[in-house]
Amino acid sequence: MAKKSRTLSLKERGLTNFEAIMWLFTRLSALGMYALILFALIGALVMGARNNMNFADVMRWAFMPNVSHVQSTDLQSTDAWATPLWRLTASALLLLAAAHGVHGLVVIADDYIAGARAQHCASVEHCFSGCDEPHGFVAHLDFVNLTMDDRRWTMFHGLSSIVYRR
Amino acid sequence: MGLKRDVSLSAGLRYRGPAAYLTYILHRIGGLGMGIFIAVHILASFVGGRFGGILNGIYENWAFQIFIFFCALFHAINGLRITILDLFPKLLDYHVEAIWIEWAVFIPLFGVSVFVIVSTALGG
Ligand code: HEM
Repeated sequence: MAKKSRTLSLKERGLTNFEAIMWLFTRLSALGMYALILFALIGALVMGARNNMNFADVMRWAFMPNVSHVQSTDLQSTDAWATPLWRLTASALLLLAAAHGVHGLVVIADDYIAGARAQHCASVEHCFSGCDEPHGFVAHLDFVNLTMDDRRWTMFHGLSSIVYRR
Repeated sequence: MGLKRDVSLSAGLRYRGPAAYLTYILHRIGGLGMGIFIAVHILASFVGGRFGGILNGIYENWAFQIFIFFCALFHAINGLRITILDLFPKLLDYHVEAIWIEWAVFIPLFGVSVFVIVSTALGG
């Protein structure tokens, strides 16, 4: 386990094509969604969710801080929950989630549509030529990866950096 | 233009790789589940009326809530692990340990949530 990592840093890999940029966007938007959800959660607690709301109601608000999500909740007034700040927060979250989600669906579709580009990677050897030390996860290639190029494979498993070992 | 796999679909479905295979397929199911059902949920709210009401009624069913909460919670927690390991590639040496930590976070959180959802459903 104490083996030294030979993974390439993000800088060394270079973000030169659309897929690579979206790879980074997927991760940054994930962090962004975390930030907004946490913000909404704290907001709900500040606005008195401790007294009037059950756990499920609080989660419903946190995942999408839109006033329609608390309208059927046991609150005296939803005024504080409908301010421009919350509209903005909800809009930002929706935008991020939509961009992240739509790109994610495209990635999945792409994985199952074998085209000319996919056949470029017709063998494990091809994917890993230049990779002097195959990793245990290469086993996955048996099943899924014969239709993908190496960059796609990296996104496939969330283990991106392994393929970039030199 | 068919799929070019050199294993059969049934062999593929029986295949179990190392730990990350399970998280990978659950992440995909979670992302797909959210993508499809959140889109339908937003559309149903837009359409409104009786039809929208019926659609959104499905979402309030406890069984459905367990499913969609699984999708959201697993995808979010697993997604955080992926993000951390990918942005700090040196940590990839510990990806197996990271997955154990992930389960240690996910199982209690999801367990409590299922308990709350079911007890709310039973208690009315
Ligand atoms: C806090 C919230 C979220 C986090 C942390 C998160 C994280 C991630 C990450 C890191 C990936 C890349 C996985 C990979 O490359 O292997 C991903 C993929 C994906 N995400 Fe999310 N995500 C979140 C919310 C959402 C939402 C709300 C949706 C749906 C609207 C969504 C749909 C998808 C889809 C469809 C994929 C592609 C899955 C695949 O390629 O197998 N995600 N997510």
